[in-house]
Amino acid sequence: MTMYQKLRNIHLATSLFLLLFLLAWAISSVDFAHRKWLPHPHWISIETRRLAPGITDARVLARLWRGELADVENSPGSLKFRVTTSLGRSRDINYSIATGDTKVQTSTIGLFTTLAWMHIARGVWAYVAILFSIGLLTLGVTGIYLWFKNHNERWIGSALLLGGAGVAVGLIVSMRWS
Amino acid sequence: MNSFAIQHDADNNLFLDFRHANGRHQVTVLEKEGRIRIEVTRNSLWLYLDTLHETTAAFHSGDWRMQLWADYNEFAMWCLLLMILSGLALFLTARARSRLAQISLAAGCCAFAALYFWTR
Repeated sequence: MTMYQKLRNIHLATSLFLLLFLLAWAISSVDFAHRKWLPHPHWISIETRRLAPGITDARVLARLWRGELADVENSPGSLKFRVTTSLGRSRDINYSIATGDTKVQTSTIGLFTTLAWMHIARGVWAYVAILFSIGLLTLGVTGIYLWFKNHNERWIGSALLLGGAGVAVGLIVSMRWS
Repeated sequence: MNSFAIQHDADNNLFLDFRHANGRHQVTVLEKEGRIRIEVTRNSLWLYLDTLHETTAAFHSGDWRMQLWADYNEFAMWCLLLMILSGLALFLTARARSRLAQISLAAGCCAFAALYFWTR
């Protein structure tokens, strides 16, 4: 197998493996840039549960739900806190220390808001973003190699590549050090 | 200039708050003394690049370079979407029967779905 074929296979496999991730990041970019174009519904549900009474540590209770503990509030006789998942679903919990009665208010977000949470990369999605970025760089490098091997398109490709890089680097440098 | 940048401080001096990708210029007009005081806060390189990353055509700037960057970034964003769609079309028309391609697509979809349901 030639170098060209190897890199073409790497390009193909990487792009298809990343297809849904690429779509998620691209759609959320459009959503960030144009906040009013896409709908952002959210739903709230409330449930009550009876847990074991006498727990005074929010960290112990928070283990019952998946996500990160935040906004802990100690008021007399009760514990209030929030548990948020990496993709933005949050639960506001109000627990009575004396009786164990617990009110759980769950906020669920729509698809496009979920994609935005992927993009801002919290929790495990931070690692996904790193791997995704490496994949994107791989696609760029292999794509440039595959284009360069196509002799008919070298001239126009070089002009676009140098023009694009020149505009980007020129603007970044001039705005930073002017 | 945005109206929220024009303020008055506690001593009723005119206070102008200019925020930009490089940081912040806070200008206080000391009318009685006939002077202006300028406080400059400079963002780190990382924060500067982070701000550029977020800047698209929805943003309007008085600086032509920033406006050009915003339009360039917006263009790049649409190009990314177009590249994804054209890549998918190329796969479907030319390499749809490739075992490597099918396995990669299936593995990627499974990884995405697993992460989605695990973290939602």
